[in-house]
Amino acid sequence: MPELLDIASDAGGLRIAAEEMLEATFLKEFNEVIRERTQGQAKPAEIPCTVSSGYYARVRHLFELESMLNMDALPRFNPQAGELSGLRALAAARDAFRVKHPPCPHCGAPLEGPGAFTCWKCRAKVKE
Amino acid sequence: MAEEPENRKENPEQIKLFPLDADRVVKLKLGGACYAHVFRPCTEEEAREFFRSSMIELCLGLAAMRGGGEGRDQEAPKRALYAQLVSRVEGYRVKGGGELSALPKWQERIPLAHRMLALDRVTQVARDESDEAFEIEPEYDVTVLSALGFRGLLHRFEPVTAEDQHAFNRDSTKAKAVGGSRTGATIAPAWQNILIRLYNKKIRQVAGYSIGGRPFDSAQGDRFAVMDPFHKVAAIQPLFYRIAVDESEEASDLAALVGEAKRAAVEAENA
Repeated sequence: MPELLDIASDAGGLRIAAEEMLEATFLKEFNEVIRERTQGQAKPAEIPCTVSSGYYARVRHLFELESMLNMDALPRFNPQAGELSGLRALAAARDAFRVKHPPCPHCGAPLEGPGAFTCWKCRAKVKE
Repeated sequence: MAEEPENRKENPEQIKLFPLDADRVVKLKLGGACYAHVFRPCTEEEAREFFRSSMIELCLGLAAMRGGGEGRDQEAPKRALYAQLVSRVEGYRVKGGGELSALPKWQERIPLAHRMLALDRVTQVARDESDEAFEIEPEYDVTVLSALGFRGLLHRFEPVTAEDQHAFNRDSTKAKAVGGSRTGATIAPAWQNILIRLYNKKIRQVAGYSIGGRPFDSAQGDRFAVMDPFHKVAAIQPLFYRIAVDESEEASDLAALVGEAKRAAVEAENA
């Protein structure tokens, strides 16, 4: 019988989903800009989606929880099993995303990659 | 019996209360014939099982179809609920005479389309959007419903807080992955059951309902446990926004997991 995984406590799967959601957010804007600049000639980068849909829903909840905590909107927050490890998975995913797409020193947009010479968004030179 | 009041349009001042403890009657006018389906009130536990089973069938059905297999019988929970709730029908003739209810498994002899239509009608609850029905109240979150022709069914809730929204999001995203995190299907919890739990926590007053022939009054000891569970879901749903789980995923041969997934769903709902 196939395994029944508890998504809320599967930190590894949540981290993958969070990384893919961050990547998807980046690629959505990136693809749009590149499409406009190349007048539709460039093939859009594929948006990753490799885990079950329940992981993405849970990550959406965790992103929202994180922003509510940042706004101090949950003064009586009592984390349940899986929520803290889920929030840590988000933090790890953000770190990984920053390594993969360091911010442009000029406009702050995530660069296409750590070796990028120019920023795809503001077109400023970031490397000689 | 809760039957559509005929005089409502002619005499709007005469308010008819929705009788929570009475049978509900749905009349189907089809092809010149009229059939009546009489249902007893649905209990909360029956509704929870229905929502749970429906969600699991939906998830597994979509997963199986995506995996190239055959779809699942997603109407099965509705058929089961119909058979549980229907107490009698009228207007059906049996060839050779006799009573339909005398036949073994008489409910299953009724055309499936009639059963599904009648069940849809008896469980259908809508927001009452008419101008005169809605007022903002300073101390409560208010929703107004209509069902079976009754209008102005009012539910007053203690205002929803960020904690409530967080609890809803947290519990409605406690899904299970079957067949692995990457290739498996998501079995989402029945969000309706989480809303029922939140309804029971937040509800303070209702109006437009009756019990034992008199207006429902929680101050007189009437308990919200008798409230129709479909009304509970419809009443509190507008107060929350939902992070939807896309139930469609690739998977194969998941039928054996239904029992286990149900147990997991019960755990998630009761967490």
